[in-house]
Amino acid sequence: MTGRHVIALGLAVAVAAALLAGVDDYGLRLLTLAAIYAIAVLGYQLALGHAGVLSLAQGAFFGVGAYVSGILTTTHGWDGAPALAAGALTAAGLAAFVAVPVLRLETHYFALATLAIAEVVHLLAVNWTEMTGGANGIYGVPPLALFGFVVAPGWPLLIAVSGVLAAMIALATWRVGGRRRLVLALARTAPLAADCLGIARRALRFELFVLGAGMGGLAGALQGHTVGVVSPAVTDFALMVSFLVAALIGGRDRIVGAVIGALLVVHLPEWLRLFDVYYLAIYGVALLAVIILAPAGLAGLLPAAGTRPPNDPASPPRRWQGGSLDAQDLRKRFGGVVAVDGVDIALPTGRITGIIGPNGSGKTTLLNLITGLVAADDGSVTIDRARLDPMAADQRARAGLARGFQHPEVDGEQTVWAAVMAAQPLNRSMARARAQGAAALAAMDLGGWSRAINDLTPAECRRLDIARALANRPRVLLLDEPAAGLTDGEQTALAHDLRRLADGGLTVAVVEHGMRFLLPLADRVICLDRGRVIAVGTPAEVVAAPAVIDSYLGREAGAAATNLLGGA
Amino acid sequence: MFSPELLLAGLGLGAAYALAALGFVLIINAVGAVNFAQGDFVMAGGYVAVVVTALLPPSLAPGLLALPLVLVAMAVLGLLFSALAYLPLRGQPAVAVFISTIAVGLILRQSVNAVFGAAPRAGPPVLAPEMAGAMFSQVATIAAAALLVAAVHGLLKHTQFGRHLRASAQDPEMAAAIGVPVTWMVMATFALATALAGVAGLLLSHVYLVQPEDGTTYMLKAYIAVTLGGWGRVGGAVLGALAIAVFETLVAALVSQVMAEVLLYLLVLAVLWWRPQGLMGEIAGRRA
Repeated sequence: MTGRHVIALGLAVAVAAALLAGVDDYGLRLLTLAAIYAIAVLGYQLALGHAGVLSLAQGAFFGVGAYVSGILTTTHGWDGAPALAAGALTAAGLAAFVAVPVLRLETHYFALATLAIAEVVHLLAVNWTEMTGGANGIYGVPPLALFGFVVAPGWPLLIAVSGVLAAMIALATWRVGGRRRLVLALARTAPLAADCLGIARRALRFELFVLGAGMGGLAGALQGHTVGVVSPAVTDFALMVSFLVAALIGGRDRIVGAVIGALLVVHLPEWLRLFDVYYLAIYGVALLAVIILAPAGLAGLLPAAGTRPPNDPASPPRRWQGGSLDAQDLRKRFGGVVAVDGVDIALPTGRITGIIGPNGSGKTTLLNLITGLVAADDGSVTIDRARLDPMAADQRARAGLARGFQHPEVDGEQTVWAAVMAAQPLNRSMARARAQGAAALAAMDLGGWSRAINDLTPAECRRLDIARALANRPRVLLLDEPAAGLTDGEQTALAHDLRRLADGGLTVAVVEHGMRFLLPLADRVICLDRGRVIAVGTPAEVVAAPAVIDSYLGREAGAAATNLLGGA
Repeated sequence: MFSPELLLAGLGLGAAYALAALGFVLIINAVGAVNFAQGDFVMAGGYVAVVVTALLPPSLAPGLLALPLVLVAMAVLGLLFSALAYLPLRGQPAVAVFISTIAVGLILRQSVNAVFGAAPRAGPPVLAPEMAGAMFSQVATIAAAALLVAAVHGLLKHTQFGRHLRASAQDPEMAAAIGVPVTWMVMATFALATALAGVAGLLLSHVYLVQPEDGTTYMLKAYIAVTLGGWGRVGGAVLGALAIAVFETLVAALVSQVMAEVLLYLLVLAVLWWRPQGLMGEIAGRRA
C-alpha cells in the first residue's frame, strides 16, 4: 500500500463516518445486511468472475451456512464463533463434494450440477421438518455471541460484520489479487494456452469455487444471527439471483464491485418501492441491461491497478537449461483416420529440428500428442529420460515443455507485459517473475511492453506467444508454423532469434511449410507423411530423399530447396 | 402400486417435458447456449392458455383449440426473446448468454406473478370434460405432443427451412457465406423453442395447474432430459424427458413427490460423475 492509497482510504472512511453519523437503527440494519451480502457476493465473484464458472448454488451455500449455524446455536447452545466456522465449513464441504466430479466438465454441466444441488438443499430445508422446522424455519436464533460476549445489534454488530468482511477481502486479495489475477484471466480467456504454460486450471477453479462457497456459508450464518430467523427463503433461487445481480452490477471480478453490488441489492427494494409488485421484474431488466451494456459492471468504470513494466531494458538470457526430448511410437486415431501412426522423434539438446510434411501428414497432431493437449492412444514421451506421457498438458509444461501456437490464444486487451507476467508459475516471486518476463521479451526482441496485444502486428503477436512460453524457462520449445504469414524481413529476424535460443542451449522443434525459412535454420529435419516418418537427417539429406520429393516437395521444389542449401 | 394408469400419467407428463426439452436442445444446437428461461416459457404458455380459455365461451374451451393460439403467441414472445436477450450478446462468452436468459426468466416469472398473483391457476382440459375421462385426456396429450415432435422432425429433416436451420447451427460462418440468413434462422429457432415450451405449458396446465414459480423445475427437467439423452441430441432429449417423467410419476406415487425430485437431482449428479457425456453420448466432439 502506498502513501496515496492510505490517504484515499482515510478520506473514504472519513466521508463514510460523516454520512453514517446520522443513520438510524433501520439504516444500520440495512448496512449490516449489505456487509453480509458483500461477503457472499465476494465469494460468488471468486467462482463467476475469477474461476469463470457459472455456479447457481451460492444461494444454497448461504442457506446451508444459515441453517447449520442457526441449529447449532439454537438447539445445541454453541457459541457464535465455532457455529459460524461450522456454517462456512459445511458449505465449503458441500461445494467440494459437488466440484470434485463436475469441475472438469464444461460450464453448462457445472451450472446444471450446482442447480441440482441447490434444489436438493431447498427441498430439504422445506421438507426435513424435524431438523429445519419446515416451512416455518427456525425461530429465536440468538444474536451473535462471540466467545461468550453478545454483540449488540446496531453499531457493534455492524462493526463486527464489517470486520469479518474486511478479513474476507484480505483473503480474497491474497488468493486472486496481484499476479494471480492475470493468471486467472489467462486461464479463463485462453484455456489451451494456459494448459501449455503450465497453469493448473482445474486446481485453481476448485480452490476458488470451494473458498467462495465457504464465504457464502459464513455470510448465511451471520445473517441468521442478525435477523433472528432462518427460513427456507434463505435457500430460495431468488436469493441466488440477488447475488448474481450484485456481482454483475458491481463488477464480477473486482472486490470493490462486491461491496457496491451488495449495497445496491440491499437498498434496491427500498428505492424500487415505487414499482410495487413489479420491482423484482425490474431487477431482471436491470440484470439484462448490465450484461448487455456494461459487462464489467459499475466497478469497471473505476481504473484498475495494472502491473507496470520495468523501465530498464533487459538483455536476452545467454544460457538455457535445454533438455533432450525423446518420443517413441506415438499413435493417434480419430475415428477411422490414423493421424499419427507410430512416430519416433528425438530432439537433441541445443539443436533446432524441423518437422515438415504435406497437409494432413500429422505434424500438428504430433505436437498435440507431445504436449498432451490430445491424449495419445499409445507411445511414450520423455525429457532427459524423465517420463512425461502419464502427465496432463499443464504438468508437462511445468516439467519443461513449452509450445507456441500458429494462431496464439491471447486476451487482446491485456498488455504485452501483463501477458508475460500471467504466463509464469504462481509460486514465483514478483521480483523473479519481473526479471524472467523482461528477459523473455528481450530474447524475442519485442519492445513496447505497455501496448495492448490488439495493437501488435501479427509478427509481434507470434513473438509474444513465444516470449510468454520462454518466461517459464522451458527446456524444450515446440513451435507450430511460426513463420507463416510473416514478411521476408520478419522471417529473417525470427530465424535469428530462434538460432540464438538454440545456441544458448534450448532444444527447439519447428513445424513449418516455408522451406526458405526452415532449411537454413534447422540442424536436422524430419519429414512426415500420412502419420509416419519418411525421412530423417540433415536438411540437405532430407530434401534430396526420393520419398520426400515424391510425397511432399515435388521435383522442382526439391531442386530449389537443394539450391537453397548451397547446392549440396 | 404400479398400474397402466400410472404409466400413462407418466408418459403424459413426459410428452409435455419432451416438448420443453426439444425446444431446449434446439437452442443449444443453434447457438450453443443453455436457455435458463425455457421453464419460464413453459409457465408462460400455461398462462396464455388460461387467458385464452377465459376469453372463449366455456363450451368451446378444450385445450386443443387453444393450441394454435398458444403456438403463435409464444413464437412471437420467442422472437422478442432472441432480439433482446441473445442477438446483442452474439460472440460473447457462453456465460453471458446464460445470464441473460436467467434475467429473461426472472422478468417473465415476476411479471406473471405481479399480474396474476402467486396462487395456482387451472388451464383448460386438453379435451372438453364431457368428451372424455382422465385416461383419454392423457392419450390426447401424448398424441398432440407426438404429432408436434414429428412435425418438428419433418421440418428439420425434409424442408429447405430445416436445412438452413441445421446449416446455421453447424457452421454459422459457412452458412452465411452461401447465403443462408443466419440471424433469421437463429430467431426462428428461438421462436420454435418457445412455442414448443408454450404448448408444454398448455398441456400441463389443467392436470398440474400453473403458478409463476413453476419455471425453475420445468427448466431443470428439460436440462436433465437433455443431459441424460446426450448433449445436443434431439431424439435423446425426447427419450430423456419420457424417462424422467415416468420415474418421477412412479416414485411420487410410491413414496412422495419430494422424494421423486430429490432422487432425480441426485441421479443427475451421479450421471454427471459417472458418464458426463450422457447416457447416449455427446454429439459434438471438440478439437484441440
